[in-house]
Amino acid sequence: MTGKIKALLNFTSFTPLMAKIIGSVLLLLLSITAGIGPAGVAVIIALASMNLMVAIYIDYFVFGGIAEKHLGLMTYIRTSFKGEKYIKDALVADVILRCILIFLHSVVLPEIGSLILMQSFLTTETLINFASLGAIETIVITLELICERKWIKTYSTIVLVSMTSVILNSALMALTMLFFDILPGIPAGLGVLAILAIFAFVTITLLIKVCLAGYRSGSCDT
Amino acid sequence: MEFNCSIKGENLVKKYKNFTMSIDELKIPAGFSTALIGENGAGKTTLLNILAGIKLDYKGKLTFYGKYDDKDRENDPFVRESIGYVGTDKYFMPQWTVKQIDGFSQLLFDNYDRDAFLKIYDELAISETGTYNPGKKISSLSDGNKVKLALASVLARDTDMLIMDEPASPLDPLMRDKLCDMIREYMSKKNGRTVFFSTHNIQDMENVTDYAIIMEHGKIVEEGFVEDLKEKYVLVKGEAKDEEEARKYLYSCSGSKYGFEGIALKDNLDKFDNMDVVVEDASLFQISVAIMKKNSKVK
Amino acid sequence: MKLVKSDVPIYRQISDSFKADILAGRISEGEYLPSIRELAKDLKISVITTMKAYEELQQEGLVTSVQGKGFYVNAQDSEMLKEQHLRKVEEALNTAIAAADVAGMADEELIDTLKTLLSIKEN
Repeated sequence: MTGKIKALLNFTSFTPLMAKIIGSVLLLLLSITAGIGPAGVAVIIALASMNLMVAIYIDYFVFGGIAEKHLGLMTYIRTSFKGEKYIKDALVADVILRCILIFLHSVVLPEIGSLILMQSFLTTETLINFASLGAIETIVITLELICERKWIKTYSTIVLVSMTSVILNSALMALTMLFFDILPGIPAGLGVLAILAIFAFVTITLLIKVCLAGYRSGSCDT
Repeated sequence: MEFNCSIKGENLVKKYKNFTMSIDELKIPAGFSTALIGENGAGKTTLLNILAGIKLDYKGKLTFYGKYDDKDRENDPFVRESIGYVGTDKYFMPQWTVKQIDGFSQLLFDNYDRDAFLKIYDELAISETGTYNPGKKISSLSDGNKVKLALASVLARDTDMLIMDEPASPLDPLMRDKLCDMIREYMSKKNGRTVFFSTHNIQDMENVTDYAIIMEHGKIVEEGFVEDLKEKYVLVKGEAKDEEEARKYLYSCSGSKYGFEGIALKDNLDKFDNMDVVVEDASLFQISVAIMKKNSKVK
Repeated sequence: MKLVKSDVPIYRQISDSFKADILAGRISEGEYLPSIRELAKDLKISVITTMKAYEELQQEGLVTSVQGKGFYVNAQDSEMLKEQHLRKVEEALNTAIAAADVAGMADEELIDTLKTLLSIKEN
């Protein structure tokens, strides 16, 4: 695992690393408020939107274009026998860290916020629902990154993709909340969460596959 | 002269839309420094990329050090570890920093020596401040400094072969001289070390060129040890009145009202018997230009 | 080693320089010459040029190559070498005599030319 983190840290150049840290800290601090009132869901949606916008901006500098065939800016890495493994390590570490961050800001910190105020707005049921929203965020962010790593060439496209993702994310979250209402109770909530988690896993696998295929195809011109 | 090959290639073919590189036989002699010479678009970078394993969609067979083939290069770390490659643009990502290059190298290559990297960085005066500047971005480096940084990262490794794409072009005259010194030092430090580089700066690199390969239109048109090429080709100078006749036997001929000058095969010297000519030794530069002119589309 | 810029090819300059050192005993029998790549580095010339110089020394029987170890200086039969050089001198002088014949020079004139050339060399 340390090897993977090392690989990622090395890939993250100085500015995005700072942006990443500041973005994460802000996100986590704000997410405490999601646990202190009935508006928690709205806070989660707002924070997810923020995360979607920050993530694509940072990723543009770290892995931007890695899945795009003709970019091939990484000759130095290609000369190494360990080049592909190294790229894979960095990509996997990136995904794991992102999942941890999303889990923290949509489940753990709202719960902490709720405990601090001893108000306990959050029931086990709400936490499972929050986890489902986290899974949706993961899915949308992953799709967003696939688009960005594969097709983004200009800065204005980033704005477009990030706006589209925010809208998609909010819509999906709202839709899922309908399910919460229709099917209250732990078993149903868990079912939704399970389905979303599987879907999140599939998109993440797709992201890594697409990126590696893009990196590999950089060794070919035809 | 008989020699072992660090890299041997058979029937190497790589196709692009408007260009095909096709080399029947490639020989890179072990323990020597080989220059790859040719016009822009002759296929030099394509060939170097294939040898360094950056482009993999080619046909044909490569043999490294007489025992590893193309598959071994992808399955056995030895081949790639043993080759240091210095590329041109797109070598480092523009947003990377000097510190990241150092970090990458540590993770990517087992034979990377960080102290050696810092020493060469210092020796080549890559940063203007004169001290190690880890936060310096690649995008803020001049082309010359980019090559220097690439050299530092590659020479910091204990390799058996250096492959370099146009290392001299972006360098100033002083640094070109230093590059030649570094190549010679590289070869003298360990037995059998091989250097293969492409260059347009034939004159600057002649004193570090043992073997020359001249490419045109994706094919090798001439190759050999420099001393053998100098035995094969000579410089012929003569009077203006003989120019027309002489042109038939000259590879390239520049004439004026005062006389002509051109490169001819030594074996063809008898053709000049009834002309009043002076025959001199040719330099690698003169020979290369003559052969390139003969094959070039440039008029 | 002194390399003088002249019309003589570099490899010949190197081999001549070693030849002079060997014949004068400055490099003694059994001693190894510097390694080819080491010498190329010091003289700032290509490996192949150095190699050609060493090969020439070997052809003249001055040195022997040992696989993986380099070139060592042979025992020199100085009488025989002198003989060889004498023959070279005679050959060159014969060419001069033939040329003088063509030009219709008198013997005295030829000898004077030689003397003039020698005095120039001494200065």
